[in-house]
Parts: sequence; C-alpha cells; structure tokens
Amino acid sequence: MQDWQALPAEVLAISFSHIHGIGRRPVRQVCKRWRDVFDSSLRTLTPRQWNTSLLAKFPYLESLDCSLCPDQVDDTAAHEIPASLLQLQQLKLHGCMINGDFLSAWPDPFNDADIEGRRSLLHLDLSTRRTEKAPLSAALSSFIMTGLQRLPHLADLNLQGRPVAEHGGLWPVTCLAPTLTALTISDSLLWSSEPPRVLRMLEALPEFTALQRLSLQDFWVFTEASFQSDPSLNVLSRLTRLTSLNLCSTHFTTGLEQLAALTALQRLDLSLNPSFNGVDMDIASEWGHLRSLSLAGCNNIKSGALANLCALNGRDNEAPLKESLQDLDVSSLFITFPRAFEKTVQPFTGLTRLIMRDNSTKASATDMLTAIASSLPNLITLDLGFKKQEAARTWLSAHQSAPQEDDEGCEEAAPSLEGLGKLQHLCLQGRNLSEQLLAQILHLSRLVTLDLGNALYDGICHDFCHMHADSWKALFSLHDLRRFRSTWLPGEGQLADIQCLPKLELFDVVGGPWLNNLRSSNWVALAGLPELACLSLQNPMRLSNQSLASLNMKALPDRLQLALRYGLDYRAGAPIRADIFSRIDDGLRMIIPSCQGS
Amino acid sequence: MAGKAVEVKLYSCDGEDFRVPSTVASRSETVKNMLEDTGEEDAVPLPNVHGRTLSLVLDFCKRLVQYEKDLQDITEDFQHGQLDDEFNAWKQDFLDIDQAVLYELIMAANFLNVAELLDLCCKEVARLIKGKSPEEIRAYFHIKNDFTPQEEEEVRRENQWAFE
Repeated sequence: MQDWQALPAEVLAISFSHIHGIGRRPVRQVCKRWRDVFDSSLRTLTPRQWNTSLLAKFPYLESLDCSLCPDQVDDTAAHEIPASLLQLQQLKLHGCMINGDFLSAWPDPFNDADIEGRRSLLHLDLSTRRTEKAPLSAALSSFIMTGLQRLPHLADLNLQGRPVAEHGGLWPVTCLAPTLTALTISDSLLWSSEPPRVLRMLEALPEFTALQRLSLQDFWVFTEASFQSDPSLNVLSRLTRLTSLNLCSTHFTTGLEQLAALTALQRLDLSLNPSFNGVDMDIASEWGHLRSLSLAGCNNIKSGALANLCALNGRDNEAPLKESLQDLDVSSLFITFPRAFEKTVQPFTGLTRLIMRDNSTKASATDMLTAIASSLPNLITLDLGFKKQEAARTWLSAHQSAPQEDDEGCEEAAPSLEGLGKLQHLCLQGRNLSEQLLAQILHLSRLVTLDLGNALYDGICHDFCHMHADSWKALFSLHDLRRFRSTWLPGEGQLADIQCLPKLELFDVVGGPWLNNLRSSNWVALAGLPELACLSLQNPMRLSNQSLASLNMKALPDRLQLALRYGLDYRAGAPIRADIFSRIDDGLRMIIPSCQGS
Repeated sequence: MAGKAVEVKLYSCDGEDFRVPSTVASRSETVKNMLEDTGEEDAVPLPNVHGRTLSLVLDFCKRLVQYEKDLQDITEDFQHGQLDDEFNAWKQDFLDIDQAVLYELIMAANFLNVAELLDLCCKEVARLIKGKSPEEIRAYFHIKNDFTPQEEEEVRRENQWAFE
C-alpha cells in the first residue's frame, strides 16, 4: 500500500532538495508532515521579506542570504540570527543596513559556554554597493572590525564597499589570519583617497598568510603617486598561498615582478587597468599553475607583450603558458585580425574559455570562428560578442555600401567549425552572421548556451530578418540547450517544436517584430517546457498594452519569471502598464524596470 | 577478488531468488554489510523487498556497475559525455514505471541503501511535484489535506516571505 505522506523523512528531504525557488511553495502546503519535513530539512534560504519568526521555522539552516530584502535587515533584525540558527555556516548580508553591532550577538569565543552545539560561521558577506547605504555604515564600521573578533573561524570574508581604511586598516582582525582563506576588500575606499592612508589599511595584509583568494578590485591602491614612493605590490609578496588574485581596476601600472613568489597562483585578474602596459608580464613564467588570466580593458597592452606571453617557457618540466593557460579574457584590447590574432591568441592551444568581447570590429564572425576552430580545439566557452550593436552595424553598413553583385558572384565558402566540437557556450551578441555560418553553428551539438542577441544577418535589414525555417529545425535538435537568446522568434507553426528542447531554462528574445504573433498558443508551447525559468522579451517594441492585456497569463507556470525589459507601448510611447499584470498569480514575478534603454 | 566475479544469492520476501555478481549486489550498502558479516557463500534474505522490485533494483545496480566500468575504460574525453548520455537515456527508460512501482522502488532503495538509485527516484518525485498546485500534488499522491483553513493561510503567508 503506498502512502506518500508517510515516506521516510530522509527520502522526502532528498526529494525536496531537488525543488528550488518558488516551486517549493506548494510543497509546504500539501500536508503537515510534508511541511514539517520540509522545514527541518531546509538548509539554505534566501527570504524575499524579512520576518524574524521565519528563523524559528527553519532551525537547521546552514546558509542564509538576505540580499533580496536588504532594506528590512538592520542590526536589530540581524541580532536574532545567531540565537535561532545554531547550524549557520554561511551568512550573506549584501546591501543590508547594518553597522556591525549585530556581530556582538555571537557568543564570545573565549568564555561562553553557549559555544557547545553551535557550528562556527565560516562565510560572511557584509558587502555593500558603493552608492547605496554606505554613508550610514561608514562612520560605524569599526563595529564590524571589533565584532569580527567573535568569529575566529571565518574562512571567507567579504567587506566589499565597507570603508575599513578609517579604522586601523586590517589590524583589528588579524586574529582571523590563521583561518581566513578568502578576503574581498574591493571597493573599500570611500572616505579616504590619500595614498598613504590607503597603504596603511593594507599594512596588516602580509599577516594573512593563509589567504588563497584575495580581491582588491576597485581598490585604487596603486595610484601613480603611491607607487613611485612605495612598493605597493610588496604587501602581496608574502601571500604565497594565493591561488586567486583580483587586481581589477586598481590603477595598477607596473611592478608585477614583485609577485614572483606567488607560485601557487592559478587565477589572475588584471582587467580594467588602462595604464598597465604589460611589459613585465614575463614574470608569468614563475607561475607554473596559472590557468586563468584576464587582461580585459587594459587597452595600453600592445600585441607584442601578448606575443611575448605566448613565447614564455615553462619552469622546469612544466608546460609553457601557451599550453597550460585555460581561460583568457582579452576583451576590449586592440588585437588586429588576422595578423596580431595569430601571434597573440591562437598560440594558446590549451584554452577552454576565450572571452574576446568588443574586439576586432573589422573581422567578420565567419573569419574569426574559422580561425579559432582551426587552432583552439579545447574551447568550451567562446564569447566574441559586442556589447553595443553599433559596432556590428558600422561594419555592416560599410559592407553594404560595397557593390552587392560582388558578394553574389563569389559565394562565401561554408566555414568549417568542426574543430569546435567541445563548445558548449557561444556568444555572438551583436555580430553579423551569414546564413552559412549560422547553419554551421547550429551543428555544434553540445551547445548549452547560445547567445545571438542583437545578431544580424548579412545584408538584411534587421527589423525584418527572420531565421530560416531550416535554421529553427537545426536549433531544435540541440537537445542540451539551456539558454538561448536571439532577435527572432519562430513562427506559429514552428514554435510547437520548441518542446524538443526539454532543458531550456532561459529564452530571451531581444526586440524584433515577432511580437505580432505572440498569441496564447505560443505561450502554451513555451509554458510546456519543464525547466523554463525565465522568459525574457527585451525591447519588445511592438508590444502594446492592449495585446499584452489579451494574453492568457494564467497559462504560464508559477516558476516562470517573465522579464519585459525596456518594454514600451509602441503606440502610447509609455512604459507597459504595471496594472496589466495585477491579475497575474502571485507567483509570477514581473521585471519591468523603467524604459530607459541600455 | 581478481579474475572471475563471485556470485551471491539474494532472496526476496516472496521467496524469489536472484544470483548476481557480488560487485552488483554490493551497490546496496545493506547487502554489502550483510555479506561482510556472513560471508559471500550464504544466501541473503531480504524480507522487506518484493521480487519484482528487487529485480528492478538489481537491473539498476548492474547498469551502474557497467557504467562505472565503461568510464574506466575510456581513452578519450568526449567518450565521457557519450557514456553519460547513454546512461541518462537508460535511466529515463528505467523510470517509465507507474506510481505504485515507483513507491516500491523508493522504499526498496531506501532499505537496501543504494544511494544512486535513491537519488534517482527522489529526483523523479521532485519532477512529479514540480509545476503542480498543492491540490494537484495531493490528488496525485493521494494525500489528505490535514491543515485547518487558518493553518493553511499561515503557511501561505510564510511562503510569501520565504520563497521567491
């Protein structure tokens, strides 16, 4: 006799753990036993609204993330957390209105008997955004530094945007040094931009020898003035266990050789340092474990410096960097195609991830993909997108002005993408695509993500382009596809075939004229996808309040998030009326930000 | 253990007996512990498991052992994905069973402690729950609603706070 209500608790708990987000709501409503099992098996929670009584409902939480209700969580609210949640190991208070006073609610690690039965907090995220709420917390952030002394086992601390510089830098928390393996003090410089004070803040950093991950993003440490007089990077030279170092946007210019001792380094982010010219990058030969390197936006780097990087020999018996590097980001760098490209990117044959956004506007997607397919056989992720469509448009208009007969005379040879057999994630946002190229792309059978947002077809005015029926057919054979973005929606008849993509989670249509055929049968086809969690219609220019009001929103399942970014009623020129959605089930979260374009 | 695989005998509650390699039977932690206690010569009685269910459990264990063996034999990376795909397709066919059988299978996987099978079944339960309203879930699993209207209202309110 089956009795599903009485399934063993551990069986129910495993089952429930596979249900996420809003889908968990009905589970708690089925019966008391299911609710009780669910509540006591819940380990992670990201509440939408703060309510202190929630903590008592889920006493075995190991992870609590308050970043969805930051305005409701202040020190008084957060004060309740340690008393209710003895199993808590991870706490995220990103953006919350706290000054650190709540940390005193944790028992004193040196004398309280209360410690027994309590697990130590290991991960704490107190980050905040520079622009928000920081003034409130700034004056009082010394509370944070003193309070942290109660959490001596912390392994991961995020203080992004918290102005710790004012209060003795990191000295008060050196008691965390033995256990702390990850520290984020990005963007922590609110109140003091004087280099000497900044450096004082980092004075204690060499004590944190256990650190494996460190982010100083946006820290503005290495201002030119400070660098001249003070060997700033020196504070990092003792952190020999570092595997990941983020120096993004630190105004870092030179002195990389001071990091020669960081031989464990695997990931290095030097992006957005426009003054960094890359001449001392030879030091990378010391970093035999380096797998990931970002130089995005360091537009002072010359191709020659990158070519030198390819020429480096490995240490001892280790493989040279050009073979061992797996992840390279060279977005927004000036790399001419094909000449510089051949010398700087193509030699990195070990790459599994290549990010090259906003690059080489003069090269066609076909040429670049063909070159990449012939030289980088291990790629899993490839991004050749343009943030701005204009770049691709300029290229397109330049080509359109050339005599069209020439194009027809010499039909473009079908590109061969066979070398990209492992590719799973491909972004060609804002690129112009030829029919042949698209056909080849749709043969990459392992694709999980395909981003063709704002992509253009050669020679076709983008307002009227549709993907060919054969292309849709090919697309629907990509059975692993989870995320798809395009400018086009298939026609009424074809949309039913979207059922062939059972794993689809995100379906994002950017602009385009297709919304005319947004009828309820289309919704039904989309709503039938079991995993679909986000249906996004960006810039739906043809969407009117009226046509939207006629849709049968009830046909959409609860879990689905519908995003109508930048939605405008094209006739009224006004944002889509929020009240249209008022009759939608409570579960459907609408994202309708203001109509300002990106 | 090198060379020929040792066979063990398992008895279901309705007296059916199964002979399987001990590598397959040991995928069940419960059986494995019993074998360690009694030795592999003795037949293992499984009083909680019906023959038709045990046969399904053993099918799964055989396929799992096969999959793991195949994984060790591969030489190229891409074959890994292929094997996964094949195994996943097999699992889908395997789960093409009615609700009563799924229930039996869960109870058996839980008793026999076959972690991979239990997880597979639990995922299937999760799949069956997903996308249904509370009423639909109750109807599907024949569960009685034991909430008072007030309690139901409270749960609904908590849900709104807690779950996105």
